Amino acid sequence: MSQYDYDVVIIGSGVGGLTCASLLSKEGLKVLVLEQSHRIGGCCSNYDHEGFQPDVGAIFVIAHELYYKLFELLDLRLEDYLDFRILDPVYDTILHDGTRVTLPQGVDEMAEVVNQISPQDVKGYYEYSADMDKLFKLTQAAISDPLPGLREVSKITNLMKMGLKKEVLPAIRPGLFLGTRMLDKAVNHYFKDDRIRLIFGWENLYAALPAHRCSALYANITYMGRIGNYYPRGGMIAIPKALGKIAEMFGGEVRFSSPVDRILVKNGRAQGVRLEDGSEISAKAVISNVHSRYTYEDLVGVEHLPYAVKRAVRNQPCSIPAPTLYMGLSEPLDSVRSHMSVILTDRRQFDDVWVEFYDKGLLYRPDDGAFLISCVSHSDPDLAPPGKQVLSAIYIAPYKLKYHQWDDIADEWAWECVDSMDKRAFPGLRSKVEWLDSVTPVELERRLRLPEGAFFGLEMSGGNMGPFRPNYRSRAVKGLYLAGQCTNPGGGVPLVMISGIATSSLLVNDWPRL
Amino acid sequence: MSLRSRRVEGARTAKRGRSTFRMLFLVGAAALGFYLGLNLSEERKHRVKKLMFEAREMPFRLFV
Ligand SMILES: Cc1cc2nc3c(=O)[nH]c(=O)nc-3n(C[C@H](O)[C@H](O)[C@H](O)COP(=O)(O)OP(=O)(O)OC[C@H]3O[C@@H](n4cnc5c(N)ncnc54)[C@H](O)[C@@H]3O)c2cc1C
Repeated sequence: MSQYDYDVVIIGSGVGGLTCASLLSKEGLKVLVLEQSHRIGGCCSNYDHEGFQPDVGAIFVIAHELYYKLFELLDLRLEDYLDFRILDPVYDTILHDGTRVTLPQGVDEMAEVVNQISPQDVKGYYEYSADMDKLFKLTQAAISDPLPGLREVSKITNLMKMGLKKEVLPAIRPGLFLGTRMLDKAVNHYFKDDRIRLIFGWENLYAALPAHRCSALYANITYMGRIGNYYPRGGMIAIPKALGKIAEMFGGEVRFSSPVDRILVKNGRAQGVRLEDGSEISAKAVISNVHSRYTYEDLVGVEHLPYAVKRAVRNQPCSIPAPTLYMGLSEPLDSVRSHMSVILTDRRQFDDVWVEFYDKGLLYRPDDGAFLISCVSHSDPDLAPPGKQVLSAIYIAPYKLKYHQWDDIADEWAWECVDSMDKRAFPGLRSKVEWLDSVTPVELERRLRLPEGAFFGLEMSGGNMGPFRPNYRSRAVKGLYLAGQCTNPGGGVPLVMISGIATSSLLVNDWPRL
Repeated sequence: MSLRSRRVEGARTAKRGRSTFRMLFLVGAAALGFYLGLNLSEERKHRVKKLMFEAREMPFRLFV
């Protein structure tokens, strides 16, 4: 009999943690997931207020091919667990000058929209699409072969095999062009009209970086909308629910309302965890799915860390927070025309929010800000009570305010934002709001124990990616592994799945030596 | 003065000249940097500061 209660304890039921739980349980390991909240999924989950069920964080499925790869490793069919529906239109876009366009899914359909706004940009749009297509085809080719088993998937030979495809050649030029530029420069290269530039440039929000610090490779995100973004039936929480169910099917366990207080470290080695109620659970390996700073400073404890690690985790910048307003409406608004809507300012103002407000810790007037609104009941009416509608609106704002405390202004600010959205896109919104929940960066931090309420955990800039992002296998504590948005390749549900696959693969390979 | 001591003296002068030149270059570069720094917009200054912070911290991140 094993000297440990479990082979592996996983802290956190985010998608990263649950990917590990399902894969490792399938490998025959005895796995326990401990989640502090009463709900599964972390940032990929939902709230339930009297039948209004908006998503907590993630609002749509991008790069759905990667989800299929995880199911392939699990030897299961995704369709048996998840019902993905395509989002078309992709966005209802409301520009500062009152222009309102719904952005369709197809490449040619989108060309018509570009033509309506700025005919001179159609040529640039097709050039942009051709470049993005070359990169997209390369990623498609890289994941087209069947994956080897979990053990082999992270091996260098497999990674090389995935990368050595004939699609590499055509992708070199656009890859080099985008890889050596920032997003704002690349968008300016393809497009001339400021409105079109903004339509193709604002999605740097998904990288949680201003366009001038965000790699132009993110230009691909807008193109992915043309290929197809999806939404699962039952909301984004359907994804972690499916993974939790699979883990349990293979013998794993998921426990809710079980906050971990400490990772037990003895002689530089993780031995298990202590919960906040004082109980201890021993395990041969511990996987932390929570933020790297929180993992090392609070759960491991600085006394176990060498100087370099202490310094790195303290000073590594968190990504921007993603404060969100959740609204339950007494009846549906006709002006909500799509699963996702985006209210934009003019391009200069959009950039100014980062420079003039975000960096300085100031709050702008909501009328000067942008909102990304999702209406989950538009795609799945079951996510709101019958005859009602649920909306969430994400905006950019700093974690620390120079002149205010978030808790003091949360409600007042929220209603100002509602008024602004009412005026700019959804007339009658204010009078229909019957439930409003203002989740500020500090509130998100409290609810998910996510430092600074950081959207993608750590910044996704060059100095925080690759070897500069925390390792899957901890270099400071033996037997400790990390999975989730603070590891490579970063934040976003499919990327976090890749991280879970990489961590699990390393762990099963290390297992005999642990 | 012997040939040898003249050669030593010459080498010393050349060395002093070189170090003066190096000093001048450093002071000049610092002054130019200061001048450019003063002329940078607040936004640029912020970006430069952020870049310098990142460059200083990146090596430590390799140990996590
Ligand atoms: C507002 C917002 C919008 C987003 N939109 C999208 C999108 O549209 N598409 C997309 O792909 N991605 C999106 N993302 C990003 C995506 O949601 C995240 O990158 C991803 O879900 C993070 O998963 P994770 O596994 O790293 O961990 P998390 O989801 O952060 O999960 C960590 C879990 O650990 C738990 N935990 C914390 N401390 C403890 C403790 N001490 N003990 C036990 N449990 C603990 C938390 O409760 C949480 O459940 C969005 C994120 C946000 C915030």
